[in-house]
Amino acid sequence: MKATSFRNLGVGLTVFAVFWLFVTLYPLSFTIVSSFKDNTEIFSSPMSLPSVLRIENYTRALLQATILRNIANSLFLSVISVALLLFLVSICSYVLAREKAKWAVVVYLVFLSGFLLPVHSALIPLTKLVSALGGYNNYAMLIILFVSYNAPLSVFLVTGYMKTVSKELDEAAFLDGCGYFQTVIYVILPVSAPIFATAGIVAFLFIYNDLIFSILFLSKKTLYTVSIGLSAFVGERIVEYGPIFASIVLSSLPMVAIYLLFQEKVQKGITEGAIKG
Amino acid sequence: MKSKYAPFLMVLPLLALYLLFVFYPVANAVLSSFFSWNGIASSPQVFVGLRNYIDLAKDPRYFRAFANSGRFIIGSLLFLMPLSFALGGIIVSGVRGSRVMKAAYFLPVVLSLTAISLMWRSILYPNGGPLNALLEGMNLDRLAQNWLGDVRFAIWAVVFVNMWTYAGLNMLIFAAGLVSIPQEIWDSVAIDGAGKVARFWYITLPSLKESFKAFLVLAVSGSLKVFDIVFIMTGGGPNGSSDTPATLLYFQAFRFNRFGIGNAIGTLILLFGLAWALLVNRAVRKLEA
Repeated sequence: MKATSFRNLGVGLTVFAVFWLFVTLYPLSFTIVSSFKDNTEIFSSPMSLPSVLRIENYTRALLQATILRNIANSLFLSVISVALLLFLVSICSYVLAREKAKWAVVVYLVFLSGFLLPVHSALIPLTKLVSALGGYNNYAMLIILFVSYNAPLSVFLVTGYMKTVSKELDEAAFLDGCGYFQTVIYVILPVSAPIFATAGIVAFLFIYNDLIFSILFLSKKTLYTVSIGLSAFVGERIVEYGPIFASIVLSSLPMVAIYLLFQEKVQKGITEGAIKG
Repeated sequence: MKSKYAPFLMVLPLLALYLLFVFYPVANAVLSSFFSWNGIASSPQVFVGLRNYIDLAKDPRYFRAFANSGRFIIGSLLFLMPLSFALGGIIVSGVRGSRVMKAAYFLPVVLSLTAISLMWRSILYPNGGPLNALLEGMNLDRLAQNWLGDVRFAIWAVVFVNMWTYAGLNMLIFAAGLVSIPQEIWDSVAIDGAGKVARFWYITLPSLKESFKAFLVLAVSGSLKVFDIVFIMTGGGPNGSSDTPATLLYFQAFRFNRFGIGNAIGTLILLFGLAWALLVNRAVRKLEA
């Protein structure tokens, strides 16, 4: 790390660093702690540790509620969408990175303009389109939407990276008789693996956490995703809170695991996308 | 073998999806904002000119929703900016534990906004929620409030949770700017004997122009787009007091079938975001010139 004017934090910043650490982590620890409590304990002593670990909150969440199904649904949607997205991005970005013609530059800019298009502005016409295509309660439709809406960030990340990949690799492949398509799949894709990992992980995160497309286009309970499954707790007459906290913990675990495993990539991908926006 | 059509065919699939499902709906929303439509496929769209926009301007609900975006922006400028700037400084300082802190500060960004909203709903719960319990424990009962059920506090509670969620992301934007300041500059000003304040004012701040630009664009476009947190935490309530343009668009269109008004709101979200991005870019370019 380079030195900056912050080399010595000083008392004020140190205290603040610890304070914000507490503010950041408290809601998470409160949720985890409450997931092991019963109602009485949650409300009469919200700040204390559970007197006994009520594991049954978890078994109940898993058995009674549909959270496990929701998690499986979200994971399924994310995996398929990311796979399709990365395949389409790989062939598209390769052309955008190599082609010098004006049309390619225009296409690239059209993709980048997506950073400035708010998803909510699109919702009403999109609903019409989805309904015309028979896309309600249809995972194929959702996957296509996830691919389309994650395209700008992925194209931006991957095209930028591929521009740095040496052209000699392509030329060697062409000499060996590879077509454009084969060159991408067998030569360029493998050397661009790091950026595909970044783009894929970030898209995975966004898709797994999606709320708006799920509430608009899914009404069948068996198809519910994590966000819509959790949001169903709001406004419902709740008998027991413990299993709800357990459901929040369970449904967040995949994302926390991915984050802890690929911290740098997650941070880099999301931040670059944000800066571009 | 390089076929002449291969490049087009390779770009086409993704481009077609993007144009059809992202670009076209946004363009269509702008166009449809000059029409009135009740959402029934067989009934026609009627051209009404600017009437949707005039209705928006007359109805205080819409004004309030955009004013709430203003509150998110105020929160971003007054609190989130110094907060994430300080966090950025902390994590690039290299002090012990700064790596762990960086990981922790960023953690909320990867959680689903639904999960975050549910956590904060329970923390802010008026009877037996930990925030009020804490206040009562410190004999500050008077400060305990029905945070999400009171028109005075609901919107600010949501503004806070939004800042809590994105502090880690903005921290990295400032951190990226801070580490890009070359070491030689610090060495040379150290020789010149510049004081802490002077260093901050003449070196740190000017070097972070790109970070501030990114922050300002992101903060405002993000403020205009807030949806999930409000939708789950308050549903726009109590009494519409915490509605944002995006939640109002959703309720007007998908609960009350007022699609023309919805598209007008969507168009304004788009236009305000674009105008602000252009403004910030131009201002930064002027600063550089």
